[in-house]
Amino acid sequence: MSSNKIVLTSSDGESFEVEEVVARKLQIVGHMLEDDCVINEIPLQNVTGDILSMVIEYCKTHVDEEESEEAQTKLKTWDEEFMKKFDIKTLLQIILAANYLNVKGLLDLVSQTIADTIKDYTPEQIREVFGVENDYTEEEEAEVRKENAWAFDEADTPKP
Amino acid sequence: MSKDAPEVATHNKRRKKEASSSSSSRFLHSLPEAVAISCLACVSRLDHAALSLVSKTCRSMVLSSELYQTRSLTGYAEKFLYVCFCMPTDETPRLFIFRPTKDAAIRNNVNLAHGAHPIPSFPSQQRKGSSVVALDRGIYVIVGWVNGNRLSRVLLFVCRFHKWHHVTSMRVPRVSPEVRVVDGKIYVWGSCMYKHYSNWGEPVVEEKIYVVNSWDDGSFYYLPSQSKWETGNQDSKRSKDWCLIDKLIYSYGNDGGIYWCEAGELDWCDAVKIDWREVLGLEFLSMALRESRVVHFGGKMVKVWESYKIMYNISKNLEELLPETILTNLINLGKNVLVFWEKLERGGDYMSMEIWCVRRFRWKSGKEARFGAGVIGAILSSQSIFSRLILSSATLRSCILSLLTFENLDFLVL
Repeated sequence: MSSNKIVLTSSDGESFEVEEVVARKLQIVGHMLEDDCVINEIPLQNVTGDILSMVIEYCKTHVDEEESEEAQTKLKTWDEEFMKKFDIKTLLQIILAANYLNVKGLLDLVSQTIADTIKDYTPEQIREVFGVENDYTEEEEAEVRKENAWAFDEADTPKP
Repeated sequence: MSKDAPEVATHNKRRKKEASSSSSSRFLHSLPEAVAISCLACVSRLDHAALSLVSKTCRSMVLSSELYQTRSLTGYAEKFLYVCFCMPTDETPRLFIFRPTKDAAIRNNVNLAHGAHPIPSFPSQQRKGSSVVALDRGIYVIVGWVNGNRLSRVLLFVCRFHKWHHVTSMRVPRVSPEVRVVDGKIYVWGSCMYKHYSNWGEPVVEEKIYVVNSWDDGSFYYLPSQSKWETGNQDSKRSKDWCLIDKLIYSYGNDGGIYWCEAGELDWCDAVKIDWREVLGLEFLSMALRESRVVHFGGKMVKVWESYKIMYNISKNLEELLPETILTNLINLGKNVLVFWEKLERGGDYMSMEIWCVRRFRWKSGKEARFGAGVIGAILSSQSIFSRLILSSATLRSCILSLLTFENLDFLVL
């Protein structure tokens, strides 16, 4: 059973032949296999080949999740290195794919990576990177800034 | 700040409206909301401030209950310390939040020196008479009195929004009652018109709430499960401030020392005195506390004065007559205890006032604890967290660390 191969096809027609145990890490695939046990080829409409290959790489590495501390540390290091390969735009595509394919571990990993990226950004940088339009008026923005003054560095000491 | 602005409702309304706004103003607009929330949940609350400035939708998302629930469920909930105190020059107590510095986080150190930031205080809260407790999403303030009138009014400071709300009042007016949370419910004792004795300290131990009345030097406990009062040990003299950690009760004594006993000792019969033992290794701390005269005026005397004030219609606070009066607070912060106290120093033509905080790590030497080896404490950090010069010609009104609480920001229970 474990040697059974499944072919995953991306929205742009790229096909990946993976072991069933790897394919099952994609819960969307896992559910399909449970619903209808004789499937060899699964089309995945919402993910492109380049992103799907990243997801598969993650799933292959995480296919045997061992309990031992050593194995966990090794996986963690791999995760960190894996995430370093991508810019923020790719990370957003991967997280969308992880959400659609329902790969919880990857979803959590990318969430954390995006959060770590966001936390060093200024509001202006966040707007630029994520293509968000500033819909505050000047007064509204000043009000929100005042509301959050305690969390900003410039408000370091209480006013007398 | 409006007294009863329904801020929560306002946020919800905005959120619904914005959800249908153009995609360009949506935060992480390429992501479904649940995915965006799972990203934001991993971001510290300090960085939520910058996110709030990005766009209106982003602010709604940062303040949404979904985000806070996700943070609690995924273990990203953070704790923040809130302190309310009243400076000599303040008309009303002011609320501060301590912002942990990133540097402190890296060094695993509580650096509070530059961390006190003013946040909106409730304008009509009086400098004396109110009580505070933290529960779930916010800090509840029992107002006490306004213009000499006793009130049953209760306010809620919602920590996520930093906004004040009125909530259901108590059945009777109370001034400076003691409050504690058990099983998600707030219990309020004493300080109503019908009972003049006060100074209740009450550690909550497992399913019992201990109430100690230092006038009579006796303790009682309340069993919430049976709605019943029982008499406890009558030798519970150290009643000013309590802190319960791992079944040990900490309190401080007249000599400035910090003492501990086992929680179960409050159940001992009267013939057996509670064995209060000093926490070792805190010599510096006990000297500071002794010099601050905390213990001599901090409990009973202030409370006696309060009843005199009411009885004889006296307006002066005890601290106006005894400006060195200091109150301390012990606070349970996970495995640590935070101790706060005030320190006044007189110079030529000025006085300075500082609020000090000690973060104390403590451990128990296992089985030997009962036989004298006891509890050993180590001071991790000690610093002045707030200081100000005061002209000595200014009327020195109470410099009281009036209340102090920490907040379970994300519904996290220790």
